[in-house]
Amino acid sequence: MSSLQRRLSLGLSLSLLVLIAGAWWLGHSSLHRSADALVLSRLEHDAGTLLAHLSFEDNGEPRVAETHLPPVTERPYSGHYQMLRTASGAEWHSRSLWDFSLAPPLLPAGTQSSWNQPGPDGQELLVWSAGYRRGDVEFTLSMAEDVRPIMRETRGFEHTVALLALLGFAGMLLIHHWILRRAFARLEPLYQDIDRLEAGATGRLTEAVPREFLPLVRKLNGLLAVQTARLERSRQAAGNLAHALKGPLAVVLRALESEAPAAQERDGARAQLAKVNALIERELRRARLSGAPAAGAWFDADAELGPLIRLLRQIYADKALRIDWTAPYPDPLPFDREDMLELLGNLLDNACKWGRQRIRVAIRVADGACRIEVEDDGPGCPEPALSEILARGSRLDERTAGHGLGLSIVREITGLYRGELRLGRASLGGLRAELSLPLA
Amino acid sequence: MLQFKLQQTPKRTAAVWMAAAMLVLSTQATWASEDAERARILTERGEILPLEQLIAQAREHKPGTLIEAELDWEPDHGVAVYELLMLGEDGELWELELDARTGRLLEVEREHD
Repeated sequence: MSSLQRRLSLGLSLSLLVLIAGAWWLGHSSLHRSADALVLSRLEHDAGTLLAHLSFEDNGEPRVAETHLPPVTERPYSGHYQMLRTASGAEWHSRSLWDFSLAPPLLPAGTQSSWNQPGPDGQELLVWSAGYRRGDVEFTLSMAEDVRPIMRETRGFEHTVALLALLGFAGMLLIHHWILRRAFARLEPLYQDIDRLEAGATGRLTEAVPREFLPLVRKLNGLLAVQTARLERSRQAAGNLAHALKGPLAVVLRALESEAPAAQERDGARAQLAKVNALIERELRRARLSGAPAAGAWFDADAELGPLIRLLRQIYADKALRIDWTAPYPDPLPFDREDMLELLGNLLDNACKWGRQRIRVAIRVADGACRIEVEDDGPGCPEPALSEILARGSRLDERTAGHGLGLSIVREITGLYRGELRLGRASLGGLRAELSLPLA
Repeated sequence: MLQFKLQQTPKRTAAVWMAAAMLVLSTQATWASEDAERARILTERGEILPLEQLIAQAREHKPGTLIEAELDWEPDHGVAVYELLMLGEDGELWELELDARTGRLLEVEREHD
C-alpha cells in the first residue's frame, strides 16, 4: 500500500460509501415509516367506523351493521380486511377475507399492535390491531391492508435513488482520480530535474512544486548545496595536497639524480621527506576526525564533542593535554554534522598542536547565532601574522604542517554558513579562534 | 360439464339455507358476509378448495384481477361451483365457473347483465 493515489482513493471510496449508504438507509427507512404511518392511520380510522357499527348480543356474538362499512371490504380478496375476535372465541370477518384467516393474537383492552404478514393470493398485509372492552365483552379488532401497491411505488423510487447514488459515487471517484492525476502531473518538472541532476545538467531541483512537496524539495536542495560545497572543498584540498607534495618531491628527486649526493643534499631530501610524512599524517588525522559520514544529519554538539575530544587526546597522547569544553545547548544545531566536525576538528587539531597543557572549547547560542570559541595556551601568534592568515589562508609555519590548510578549510566552511571567523589572543595565552555562525 | 350447469339460486333462499345448515345464525340477521362465512367453513372442513387455488386456476385461462366471487353450494344436487368475475388484462370482464371441489374449469364467458 505504498501508492499515495490508491490510499487517497480508498479513503475517499470508503467515506463516500458510508455516506451514501447512510443517506440511502435514512431515506429508505423514513420513506417506509411514513408510508406505513399513512396506512396505519387509515386502518385506525376504519376501526373507529367499525366500532361505531358494532354491537354484541346477549350470548356475546358480535353483530356488525355491514352496510355502513366501506364497499371495498365487501369484495373478496380486495386487499382491505377487517376482523373481530372476542375473548370467548366468537369471530366476525369482513366479506373481503372470504375463506382466508388473519389469525391475529388477542390483545388486552387498551393495547395496540401492528405487524406485516402474508395475505391471500400473494398479498403482503400491514395489520393494525387493538384490544377493546365493551361491557363484559373483551375483543380485538384487526384491520389489514395489502401494501403491495405502495411498496411497488416506494421500491421503484428506491431503485432510482440507488442507481443515482451509484452513478454519483462512480462520478465522484472519476473526478477524484482526475484531480489526483493532475496534482501528480505537477511533479513532472521535479522528475525532469532529478534526471538532469543525474546527468549533471543542474545542481538543484525546481521549487515549482505543490506546496506539500516544497519542504521536501527544499531539504533536498539544502543537502545538494552542502554536498556540492563539500565536494568542492575535497577537490581543493586534494589540489592543495598535491601542490604541497610537489616541492618536497622535486628536492628528493634532485638529490637522487646525482651519483653521489653531498651531505647537504641528503639532509635537504630527508627534511623534505619528513615534511611529506607530516602532510600524510595530517591528512590521515583529518580523515579520522571527520568521522563516519551521515548525509543530512544535524550537528549535536553534546553528542559529538565528547568523542571528538577523546580522539584528539589519543592522537596527542604524549602531551597530557587538558581539554575543557562547554556546550550548554541541548538541541542539535541546524548545521551539517560533517561540516561542523571538519570545522571543529581542524580548530581543535590546531589548538592541540600548539597548546602546551590547556585547551578550552565553548559552543554557545545567543542572538540568533552560534558562537564557537577555541583557545589554547600555546605561543600564540603576532597580530600582523594573524591578519595575513585570514587574508590568504596561507601557512603560518611552513615547517609545522597543519596550520595553513586547516585554517583555510575552516574559513571556507564559515563562509558557506555566512559566518565570521576572528583570530586573536587567548586569555590562556595562546591563539584564540572565534567563530560566529548565524542560525537562520 | 353441462351436468353441473347452475340453477340460479336467489340470495334469499341461500340465506335461509345457511341459517338452517349452520344453526348458529339467527334468521333475522341478514349479513352481507354470510356467503363468505359459508365458504370459510366449507374450506376449513376441506369440502371445497380454497379460493386462492381457484383464482390461480382461473388465471391460467384468463389472467387478471378478481372482482367478485360467488359460491353455489347445493350438496343435495351435487352442485359446488365457484363463479368468479375476473377483470382481464385486456380490460374486459369475464365470468368463469369452476368446480369448487376439483378446481376444474366449467365455463368461461364474457360478463353481461
